[in-house]
Amino acid sequence: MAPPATDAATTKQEQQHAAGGEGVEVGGDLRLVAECGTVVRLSRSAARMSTTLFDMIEAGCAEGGIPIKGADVGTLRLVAAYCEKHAPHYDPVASAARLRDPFPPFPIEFTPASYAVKPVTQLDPDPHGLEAWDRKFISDLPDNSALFNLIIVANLMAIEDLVDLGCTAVADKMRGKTPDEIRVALDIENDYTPEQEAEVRRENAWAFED
Amino acid sequence: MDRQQAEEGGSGRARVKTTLAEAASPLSALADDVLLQILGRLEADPRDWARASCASPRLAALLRTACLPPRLSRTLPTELLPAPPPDGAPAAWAALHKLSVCCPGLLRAGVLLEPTDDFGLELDIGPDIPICAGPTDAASVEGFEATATSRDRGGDVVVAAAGSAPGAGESANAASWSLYDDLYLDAAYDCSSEPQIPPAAAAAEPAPPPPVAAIRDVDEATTTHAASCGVARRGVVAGSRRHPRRWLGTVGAHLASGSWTLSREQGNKLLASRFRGDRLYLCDWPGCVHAEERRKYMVFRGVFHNFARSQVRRALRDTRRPTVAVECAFCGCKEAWDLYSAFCLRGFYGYHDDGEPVVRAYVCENGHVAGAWTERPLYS
Repeated sequence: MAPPATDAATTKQEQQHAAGGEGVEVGGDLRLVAECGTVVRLSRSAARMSTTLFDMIEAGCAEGGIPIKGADVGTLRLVAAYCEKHAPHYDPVASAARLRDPFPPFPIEFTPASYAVKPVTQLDPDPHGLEAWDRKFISDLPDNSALFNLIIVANLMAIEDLVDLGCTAVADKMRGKTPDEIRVALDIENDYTPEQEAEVRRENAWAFED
Repeated sequence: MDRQQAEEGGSGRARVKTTLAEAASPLSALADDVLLQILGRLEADPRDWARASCASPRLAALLRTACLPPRLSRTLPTELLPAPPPDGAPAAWAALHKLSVCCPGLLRAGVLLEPTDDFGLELDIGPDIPICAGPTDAASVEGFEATATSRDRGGDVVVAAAGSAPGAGESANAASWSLYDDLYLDAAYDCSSEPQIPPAAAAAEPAPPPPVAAIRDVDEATTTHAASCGVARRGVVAGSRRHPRRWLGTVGAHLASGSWTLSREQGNKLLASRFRGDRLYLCDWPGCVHAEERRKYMVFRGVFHNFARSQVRRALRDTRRPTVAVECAFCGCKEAWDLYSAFCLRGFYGYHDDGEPVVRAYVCENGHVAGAWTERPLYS
């Protein structure tokens, strides 16, 4: 397979093509092709975080460009950055063991501070500085549509950790806010007619007590 | 890498157009299952769900059909649950969810109602006949009323006073205050929570006691002008309520403290033994505790399973009990039955010194129960 013209030829890439094999044992870069055709590189170890890509690598169809339908380049680069950062510390077993059910069986007594997905408990809560990096990553996103695109692409590529991160970020934006503030924070238009709005406000007036 | 960035710079401009189109409502780009993931993280505080459903109809629909049913299936006993989402009306799930997490508050639990019968005492509150006769009777009464209304600018009581007194009456009698004003305001304040006056006063949800400031004025005025006019009172007041009740906490519906499940055992403890067959599900003891000035109220809520065919309903119908105008916090019913005076509750709990029952419970047409316990008096 001749390398495409857009690639910068690295030694690893040449090795892979010299070996001529499917490249499972030699770590080459995956090439994710965005909607507009631009290629984003992703190392194989980072690609393991995405279940889809991982399965593709296993099945041996990860050669050539992998088109990611519906993803724009900016989002793909963000996803790639996240994967590269988290790849060395990624533990697929622990990640799968976390509760993915959006409505996990809670105890009957609710405490307001409990979250839907409990983090994996570690002796040092943030041994590799990942959580701080994640917070910065999320806060660096320019606007809501970037965040939503990130979630969509991560969902597409089945990167569960990133989906968790994005959903938690959106939920944090909604938590504790009045409906108007929620609309402002998430750029939602007000689709209610005035009567519907009055009705739903009356029904939920108990939530506005404080 | 540089080449990639250059390419992306070129194609980035093409992407800007589509992102702008999405920015109109970016939330619509998210699929429903992603939204469910997001909403699932807000499950811990039901108020977040309520506020989210106010924010957007899409979120509201999603909550009703896909978020409430699994949550209720986990927390409530199965026989209470309506049919699953494809069949059952989402409104039934929403009402049940509200029942489990929303405390009806003192207003809807009937705590603000005065006892309907006055135990045979003559609570005859009427205008005082001033001995020091000023102008004609009508004018003096109006003057007193004007004084009363000029005193409180809280708004609600003015509404309740049926607007007969001119609101802006700064009459010359502003300086002379009589006990009649005190009693009038007393009655008027209680009237504002009396069932006969339905509108804004009773339905205003976050309602701090409206004319608190004005009543403090009244109290001061009473002490200073107590015997100034030498009036003769026609009425006898039964010792209570020289000073109208002030409610420290919120009076309307709010998020319930305590557990958010309903159990049948609590219901069994409340109902009289002859209603053993009825299935009443109440929230766990002690419900939502409101610590008021005089005593604590343990406000509970619950629902009858299949109320229309229950013994309680039949008993109420057979004895033709009149309904009280307590609004149900969970459905739209405007009236409810008083279970205590209908002898549906177990045991005889009696009343406190000031005529307040130890326990009261009101059930609406749809079987929603709201009520309050107080601590039993130590000596009776």
